[in-house]
Amino acid sequence: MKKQLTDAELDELIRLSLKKEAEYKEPDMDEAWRKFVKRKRRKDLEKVSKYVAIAASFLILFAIFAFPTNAKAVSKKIILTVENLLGGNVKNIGVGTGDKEDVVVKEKPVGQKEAVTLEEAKEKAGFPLSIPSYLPDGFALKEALIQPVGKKNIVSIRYEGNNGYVVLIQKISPESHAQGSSFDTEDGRSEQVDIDGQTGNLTLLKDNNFRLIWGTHTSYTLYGKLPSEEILKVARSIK
Amino acid sequence: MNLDGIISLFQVNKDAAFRILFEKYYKKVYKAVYYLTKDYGISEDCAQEAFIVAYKKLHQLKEPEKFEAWVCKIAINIAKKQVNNRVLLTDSAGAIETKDESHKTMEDSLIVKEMLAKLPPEYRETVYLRYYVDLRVEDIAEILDAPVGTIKSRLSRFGEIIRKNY
Repeated sequence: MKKQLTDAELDELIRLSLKKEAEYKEPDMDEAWRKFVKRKRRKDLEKVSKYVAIAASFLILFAIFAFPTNAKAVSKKIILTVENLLGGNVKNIGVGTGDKEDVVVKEKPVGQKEAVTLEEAKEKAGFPLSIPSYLPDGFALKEALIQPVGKKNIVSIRYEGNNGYVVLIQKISPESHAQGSSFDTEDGRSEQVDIDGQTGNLTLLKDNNFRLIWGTHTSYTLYGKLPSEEILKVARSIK
Repeated sequence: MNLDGIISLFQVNKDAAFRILFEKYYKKVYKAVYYLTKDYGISEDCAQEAFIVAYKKLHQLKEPEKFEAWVCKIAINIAKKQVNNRVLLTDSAGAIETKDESHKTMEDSLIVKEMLAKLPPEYRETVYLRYYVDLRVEDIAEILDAPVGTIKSRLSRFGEIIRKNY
């Protein structure tokens, strides 16, 4: 039998035992506050979005009844205004061909991704597959995947190097098409770039992460982690 | 600045006042969730969400001195919703750090751990909130929706068990 513990000794014993059981690293308070502010802003925006969306729905209904012949045009203006209002720090970018208003989003059956060799990807793609002729030093092919979406295929090719990676996604879009992405302006910036006469949208994010979209009848998305000076070299070598 | 002052400041400058509250209590709220989840990511998520709720509903808090218990309670409830509490509170076997410890300290820690494992979940939660998160008995009562007497009795019972087995 050991000695009787005093209250203070008992408290200390329990405290130390639990501390050992669940040791943890303290959070960085500046980082925690930054995340809180960002999360709060996002929540506020979501709240505003709900009200704006409801208001927009009423306005569109009103436009249909009040101006039946001009309803489509009025509604488009309302929707554009709502897009700007809801934008906030989130910037939407996009590229495409054809009349934007004619692009109809249809749900298409998506098949399983299949790992293939580059040669098999060329055979199965159903369109002339483009490959980069330039890659940064040390980069090599990691994998190629093909995935049926509707009647067409999407091909994804990934290259990896010591300090980064790059993924090229391509699909054929014979008629009009549009593609886009969005990002928080606090996390990055976007700019228009020229890729052999085609206009692309390059989004540069933190830590050398990027996303570049361009294309006319074949649409390309190039994303990954590369020094900014290498991104366009790779993109412009894709033939 | 005391809590009354901070809450008053909140009426005129929400962000400045809330930053003070955040700096003062975030670590404790984070710790209160960490003892349940043992996961940094979930703990951060729950603590952050709790402060978002607190920011929105601070005007509903009638007694400023209860802010700490109130925000801890919000965070713990969020954590419990995310993860199965029963599993969390019993899933700590083998977590004791033995590096650089004397044999006696190890043995003592094992006694506490073993005794704690045998307690019902509400007792364990009470012990953790008191000795790990370092909350006052009144705050624990507020968080667990139990009378102060019940909390004291649970702590006292646990003390007796440790003394008997020490």
